[in-house]
Amino acid sequence: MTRLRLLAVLAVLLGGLALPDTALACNGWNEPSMETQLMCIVCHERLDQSNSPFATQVKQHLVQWCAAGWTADRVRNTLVAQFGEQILAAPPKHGFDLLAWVVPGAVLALGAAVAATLAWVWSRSRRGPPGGDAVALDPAMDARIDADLAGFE
Amino acid sequence: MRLTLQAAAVLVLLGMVGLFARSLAQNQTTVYALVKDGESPQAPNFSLPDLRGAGHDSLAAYRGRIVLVNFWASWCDACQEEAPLFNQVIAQYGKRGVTVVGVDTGDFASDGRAFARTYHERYPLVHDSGSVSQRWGTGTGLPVTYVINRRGKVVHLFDGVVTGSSLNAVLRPMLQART
Repeated sequence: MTRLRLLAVLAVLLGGLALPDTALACNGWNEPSMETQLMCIVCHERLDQSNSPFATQVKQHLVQWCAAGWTADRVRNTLVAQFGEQILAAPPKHGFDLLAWVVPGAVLALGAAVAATLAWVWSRSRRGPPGGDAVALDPAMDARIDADLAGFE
Repeated sequence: MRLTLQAAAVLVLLGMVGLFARSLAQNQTTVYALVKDGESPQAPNFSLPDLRGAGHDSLAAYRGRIVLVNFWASWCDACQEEAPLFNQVIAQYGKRGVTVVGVDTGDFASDGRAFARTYHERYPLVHDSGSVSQRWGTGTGLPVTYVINRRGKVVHLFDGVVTGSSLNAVLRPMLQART
């Protein structure tokens, strides 16, 4: 009986935790997630981190649009039409702004290629000629060493 | 291989020059900064959609008049405070050649329209999606009001709420000078 009660309490608690997400679920998006994708164009902070009057106003509109069943694309397009692309936290993936997405990856790939090439060239330059470890001795020195060694025997 | 690398290097260099040129073009000095530095720059023209939906309105249409360009938004408390003043300005100085153009910026047009209805704004109102306020500059925030003389030069700016006495102090000499 006690175990059953405990399970019931847990179920209620878990249900309560899950409730906000369900309540905020919109037409394929939710407000907290959308707020992380938007900027407060007045205070230049992410919308979810801002409590400025502008951010508050946009958040109120998000609540209304969520209730009205707007799609995420419609929300974003409406905001861009009102405030320009500066309202988006991430640059759009088209036109000149595409560079913002492409350049970091390209620079990383280029850097990796340069590093790999340099490593390859460096490893090859360290490889000496075959038998390079043997040092050719002066014949006089060679004879002297032989004589010294014979003296030890 | 060497030619390909050279071509790639030239392309990267050109790209960087392009990015630099673009950032330079975007970082034009604002009217706000110029006026704060004591200059009287020529007012950059703008043509923006009428907030009430009656086509477009352009600043150039008011050339020859003294124009107050007031940047505001419905969420701005200080803008609510000064809104009635501009109606008084129109009533008092409108026939003597003073015009107010309200630029609703950083705002939803629908909220701006509701604001205009609430405060019975009786002067031209346009909606800016950000480019004009960026070019002109709004300093630390709204409201900001620029005063343009009859020759189209920005001669004064109010950074914050405009009061009747401070506005009169600027407008009266301009009206007396008739330039």
